[in-house]
Amino acid sequence: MFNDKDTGDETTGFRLPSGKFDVPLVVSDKVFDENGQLFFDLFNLDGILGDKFLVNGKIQPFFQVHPRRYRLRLLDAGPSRFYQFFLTDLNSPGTTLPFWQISNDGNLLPKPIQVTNVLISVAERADIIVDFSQFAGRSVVLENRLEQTDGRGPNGNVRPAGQGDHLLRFDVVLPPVADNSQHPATIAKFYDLPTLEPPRVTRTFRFERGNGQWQINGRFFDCNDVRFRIKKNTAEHWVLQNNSGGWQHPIHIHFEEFQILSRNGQPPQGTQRSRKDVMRLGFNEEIEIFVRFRDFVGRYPQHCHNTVHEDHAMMLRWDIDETGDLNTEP
Amino acid sequence: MASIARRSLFSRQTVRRSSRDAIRARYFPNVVLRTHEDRPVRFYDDLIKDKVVVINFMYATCEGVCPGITLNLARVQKLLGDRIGRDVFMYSITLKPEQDSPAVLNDYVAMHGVGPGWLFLTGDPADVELLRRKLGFVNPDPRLDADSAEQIGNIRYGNEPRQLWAACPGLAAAPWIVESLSWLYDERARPSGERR
Amino acid sequence: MKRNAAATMMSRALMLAALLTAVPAVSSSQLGLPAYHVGKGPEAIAFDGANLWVANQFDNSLIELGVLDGRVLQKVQVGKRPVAVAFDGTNLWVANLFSHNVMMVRPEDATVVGRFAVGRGPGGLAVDGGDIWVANRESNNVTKLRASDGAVLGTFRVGLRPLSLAARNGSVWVVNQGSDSVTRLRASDGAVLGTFAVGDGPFGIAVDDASVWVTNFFGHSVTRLRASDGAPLGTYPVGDGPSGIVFAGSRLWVANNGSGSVTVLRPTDGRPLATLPVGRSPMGIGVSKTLPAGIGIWVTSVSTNSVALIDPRQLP
Repeated sequence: MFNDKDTGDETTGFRLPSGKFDVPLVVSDKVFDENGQLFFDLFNLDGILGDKFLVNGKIQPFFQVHPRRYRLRLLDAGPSRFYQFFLTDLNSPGTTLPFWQISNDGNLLPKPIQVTNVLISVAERADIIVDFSQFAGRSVVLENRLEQTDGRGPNGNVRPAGQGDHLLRFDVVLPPVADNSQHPATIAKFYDLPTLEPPRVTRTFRFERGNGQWQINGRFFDCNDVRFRIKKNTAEHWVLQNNSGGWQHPIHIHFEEFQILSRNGQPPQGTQRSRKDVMRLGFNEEIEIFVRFRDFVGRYPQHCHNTVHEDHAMMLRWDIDETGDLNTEP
Repeated sequence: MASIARRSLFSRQTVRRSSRDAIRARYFPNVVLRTHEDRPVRFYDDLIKDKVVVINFMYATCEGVCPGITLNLARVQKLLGDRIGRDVFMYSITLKPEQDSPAVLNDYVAMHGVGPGWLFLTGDPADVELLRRKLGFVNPDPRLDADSAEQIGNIRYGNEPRQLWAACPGLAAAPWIVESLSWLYDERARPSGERR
Repeated sequence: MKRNAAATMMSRALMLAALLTAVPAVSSSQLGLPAYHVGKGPEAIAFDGANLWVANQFDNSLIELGVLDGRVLQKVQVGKRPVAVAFDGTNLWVANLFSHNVMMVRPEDATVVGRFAVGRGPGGLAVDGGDIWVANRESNNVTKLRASDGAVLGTFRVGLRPLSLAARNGSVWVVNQGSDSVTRLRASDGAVLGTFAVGDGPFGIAVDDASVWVTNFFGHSVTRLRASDGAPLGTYPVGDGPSGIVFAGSRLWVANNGSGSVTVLRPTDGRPLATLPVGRSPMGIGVSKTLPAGIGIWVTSVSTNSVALIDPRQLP
């Protein structure tokens, strides 16, 4: 999103790596048929896992880089896989290689945070800054260590370093060039999070199994069924719950972004303190969020962003209007 | 960026096939089934080709969601009126062809208020099994597949010539199912973003 | 608060009528099973010889439910996200999924008398004589504790995402939902005696002397293994999302979380005897033995914050 300090010029504003050093990495896993054509299983309803990993549409590419900082904009484009990205030197896999995360779901964090990995589910985004000068002359791999063998969700296992999926290899072989970007550790602040205010209503959404399929609060999606109405220019709290039998779902809410108030009773930590628009709802989790609505009215959905679940209607519709309602279990 | 994936994966001549044909080959074997009126039909040629279709799986003794889905689809049929058999074709395929003969399905049809134009289908168990696998109502691991009825809570629907396929819960609101189907055969019904 | 006698007769008549027709109702609202309000998000339920205890995962509480009238008799705050409860003959045990501990609760006064750290994500409990076994969903292992004082006697690796477990005749059977398998451990020392494939997404388990029965949440079925050697004896269809399973009155009762029903199976051959609609999202099943009429089957509804009671005498 446009903002006046994330300028695209590393000599101005926040001085983030820019131009050819600002690179989107759209990650997805695909299946190809015997003719080399992309194959999408039309009748899979659980979730699809591909056996070929693509970055920006190429299978396991290499990327020649200069030995300086890059901003890498990660997007999990699905269709269903969750990722936990690490940087791995295959010649020394046990070495932890930290980097900096600066945004979550397209929003700059309150300030950069040094991390060793980033976990994203389908449709989540994370911008990271990697300083390749420490790897000059070598290669380092963007590695997914989260194990997932079922389209419904990862099994919780994080594989040992080097034994994950190698999505992209950075070959730090280009010549040294000037780096006018600022070291993330010296960026004291990006933005404060928007202030909170007391909600007009708190609504609870239970993600469950019912009538042979997924439901939210015991009902299926019907685009003509307005599950609840929000009064414009008000704020709400939403509580999302998942039980032991549920799948894991990346839940995306349209139109307005939210802040996570708590996950299982704990306030968000680190990179989760952010404006977001997708939240990963795991087994037995309860997430409470703050959402503020402005004076746009209209019809909007919230839905699971596992593409396959989305395709068969794991969603619900809500409206913003002049009066709203106070339905706490829509 | 450059790709390290080898381009020479295919040493034989690549068959250029339309996507419609690729879908046909993968999902719609042309097996011969028998309707509840005991007529033989070829699955792709007679039931699917050039049509907008609604497909679900059931079996006569199913006590789970099946009866509810059949009743719900009967509502859909009623709402669609004379479009059934003209613009939209409905098919229910048994998961237990050994038990559900055409006569058994015919009784089921009578008991559940199924109107004309909606076919219940059975056939040779091996053919029905192949169809079941192709249409995704199966667990690919035969060890796990056994008697389970995967995804039986969903109905599939699509416009075959336009290669548009989707699914929705079989117990979703009947008017909404009708509306979703109408997007497949009626250009004017498709949502354009305008307020309705 | 006694159940209204007329409502009871009506509900039994309806239940019998529903069982006799070929097409059981999909919605439970027609059936009018007595349902009792409990806390938020109840999954687990256990009988202590007199009354029932229900763990309410979203308000972190354990409540005692009176068998005779479904009234809440006692309530105690336990740890975070309690999803399993078991009775060891003297005390109750609760597994707190996000506190990574188990608690021992004295039933007489609903007091937490012990708190013991176990693996990560404890979500299953089983009692084996003087020992408590805990399935840890995140650390993929089980913890063996001494019931008398909560001392950890051992920690043993099993498959992925072990959800539940059961002990019988010197073996502990652990259901690994992430591995589609069951691990058999020797109770005395935790040695792995075998790993056996079951259906898709196994969830719950019930064992008797001859067989091990596992519900397959994604496979819409139950798998039966021979207890002596883990050999597969059969797979039987049930409803959508089968979760809790229990023996009662010489039958097996399976909660179908996704169908809103309970399937009753004949254990000799897995034959389904009945499918009973029970309302939204049934998950756990407990069996009480102290109703005047005999056995009661209690089913938790994780989405409606309630527990429904089934009277098994109505079945053929």
